[in-house]
Amino acid sequence: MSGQGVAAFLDVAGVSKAFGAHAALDDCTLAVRQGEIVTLLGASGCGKTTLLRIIAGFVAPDSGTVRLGGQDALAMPVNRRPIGVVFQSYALFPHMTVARNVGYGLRVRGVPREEQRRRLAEALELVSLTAFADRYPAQLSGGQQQRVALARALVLAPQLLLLDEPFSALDAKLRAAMQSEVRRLIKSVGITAVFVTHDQDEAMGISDAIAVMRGGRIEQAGPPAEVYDRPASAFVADFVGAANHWPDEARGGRVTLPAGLSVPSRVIGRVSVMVRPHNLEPCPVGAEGAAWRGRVAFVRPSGPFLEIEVLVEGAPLPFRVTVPRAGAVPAPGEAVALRVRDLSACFVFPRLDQAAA
Amino acid sequence: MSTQRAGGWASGGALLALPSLAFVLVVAGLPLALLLSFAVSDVGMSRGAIVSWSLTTEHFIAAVGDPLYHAAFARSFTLAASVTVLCLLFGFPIAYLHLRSPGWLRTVILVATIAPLLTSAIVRTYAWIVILGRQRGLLNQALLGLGLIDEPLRLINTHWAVLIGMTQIHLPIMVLPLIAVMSRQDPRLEDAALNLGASRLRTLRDVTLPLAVPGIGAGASLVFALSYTTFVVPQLLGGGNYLNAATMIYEQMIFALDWSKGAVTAAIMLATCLATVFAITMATRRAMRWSDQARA
Ligand SMILES: Nc1ncnc2c1ncn2[C@@H]1O[C@H](COP(=O)(O)OP(=O)(O)O)[C@@H](O)[C@H]1O
Ligand SMILES: [Mg+2]
Repeated sequence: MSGQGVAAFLDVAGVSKAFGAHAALDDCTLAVRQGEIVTLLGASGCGKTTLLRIIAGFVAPDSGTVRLGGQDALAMPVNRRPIGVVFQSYALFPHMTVARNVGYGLRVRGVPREEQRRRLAEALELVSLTAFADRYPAQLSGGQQQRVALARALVLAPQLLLLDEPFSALDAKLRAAMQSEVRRLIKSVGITAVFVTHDQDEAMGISDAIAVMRGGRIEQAGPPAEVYDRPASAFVADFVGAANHWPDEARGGRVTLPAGLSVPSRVIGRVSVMVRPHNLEPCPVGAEGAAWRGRVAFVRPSGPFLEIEVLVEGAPLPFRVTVPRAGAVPAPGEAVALRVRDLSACFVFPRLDQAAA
Repeated sequence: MSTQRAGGWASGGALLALPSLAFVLVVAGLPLALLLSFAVSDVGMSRGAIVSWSLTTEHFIAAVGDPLYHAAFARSFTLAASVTVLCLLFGFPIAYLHLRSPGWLRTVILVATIAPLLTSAIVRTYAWIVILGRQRGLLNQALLGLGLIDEPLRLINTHWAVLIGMTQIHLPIMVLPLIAVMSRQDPRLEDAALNLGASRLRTLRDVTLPLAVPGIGAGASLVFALSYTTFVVPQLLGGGNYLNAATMIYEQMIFALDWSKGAVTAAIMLATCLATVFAITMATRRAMRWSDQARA
């Protein structure tokens, strides 16, 4: 995201777009610095694709501005914008070979033959598809199709690359591999990129900054760690990672939790205290500084960690606690207290009535 | 896949198809066999009953050398080919407009396309007589009224009237397969072409048109086959002495009562029609070679 005083390379300001009575984008603002990979993260239907389509020029916004490198992008015709797009389902031309797909933009732009050949070869090399140049898209695996789509966009050396959920069609294992591959590729050509996903792990893994979208607006934007550790709202806190919710009352700038711990709160009245699973640790009942008491429901392995589900007295939903596999682990049925590891990474948000986030 | 299909055959798929197969054999196969047998026979008839029957190829040989046949078939072929091309020229923009339209306009276009099919071709042909008529035809009156012409044009009972009428009557047959194929196309492919720098026209040429080929092939085959064999429209709009292959069969069968001659003409019509449709299909397959290779 652009800091104070740094001119944004891509500057989307106050963009709104309605389809009939439905506002797909509502006063959306986003700034991306040159060379940055920014992820638009949000649930399905929150307007991510619509925002990309407006930046690319496939649809015009009802209001707002889009500036690219200081110029008014909305004034550029759709086929003249220096913006590459990798579509959600790749949109490869099924009747063209890999080479013809990747070379299409060069042919259309009337690039000299010799240069076409050179740039095509470079682009295929970049995505390691030289050997597949004469295949048709239907003869390729999902990961290969994705690389063709990337090469087709990058061969034109655009100033900005837009990727709409590029990994959603891939299976989990390939997805992880492609994520780091694509990040490496984008960084190696040094292009500015806006990347769309509804998967928070993907967002964390690929981006320099994350913009969390909700209902056609950008709710919070910032580096992944900042969004995760200092969410601006209960929605963001929930969306970017697992969180436990504790409904309570805040009085005099503090919330006092059942086991005695008190947490500072900037809001008063009905609040929701949110703690990430890895920010909790089980301790013996009655231990110093505990926040909640409860009983272990079950313990399951989760990668290198163990996930413990604790039925906390008074909580509407069980709490999830992740602990390293090494060390003492409470058994199911055992009474435990929960301690907060880092109080500053414990968030208090006003509680909306039914929502409580 | 293929083993599954083979399993389907073995486990009664063929049995299920038997009733309809029998029906087709009786209502289409038998008359066709009868027709072909008349074409290669000399049949002696007396008082409506067949009294003698012998195999011969003389009717075929006579037909193949007869300039009248050449003229009739040439006319049928040029007419059907022109109607096919015209239907494609008018039909593609309609299907393209349908593709580009918002939902409600799509419905309007579809209904407007299908509606004429709900009336009989004879009714539509008479409508053209009303429009193209010499003395009181709407078109001539309009042109006279505007002072664009001094004398009524001869439109009805000409080749042009037949061409215009047939094109309008067969247009839906071209538009429907085009719409079916084109609306299955991923609209993002056009976006992708635009994004890569293509103009709308270039996108149409490089993406929309090549992917519409199966629809063009299907529409062209249907329109060609229908207009090559149609009888009513040329008869009504072309005037009494408009001769093409279909009207020739009618005269041989109904007026000359020469069933063998009529059967020969019909057989030639069937063969040439099938050959042309086959050629269209092959051309379509050729243009769609990429999809074979993709599947292989
Ligand atoms: N062409 C369109 N016509 C009508 N509604 C649309 C259109 N495109 C998107 N929408 C609506 O706008 C909202 C946002 O859509 P989209 O940007 O595709 O969301 P996302 O990509 O985040 O899943 C959705 O509610 C969707 O139904
Ligand atoms: Mg989307």
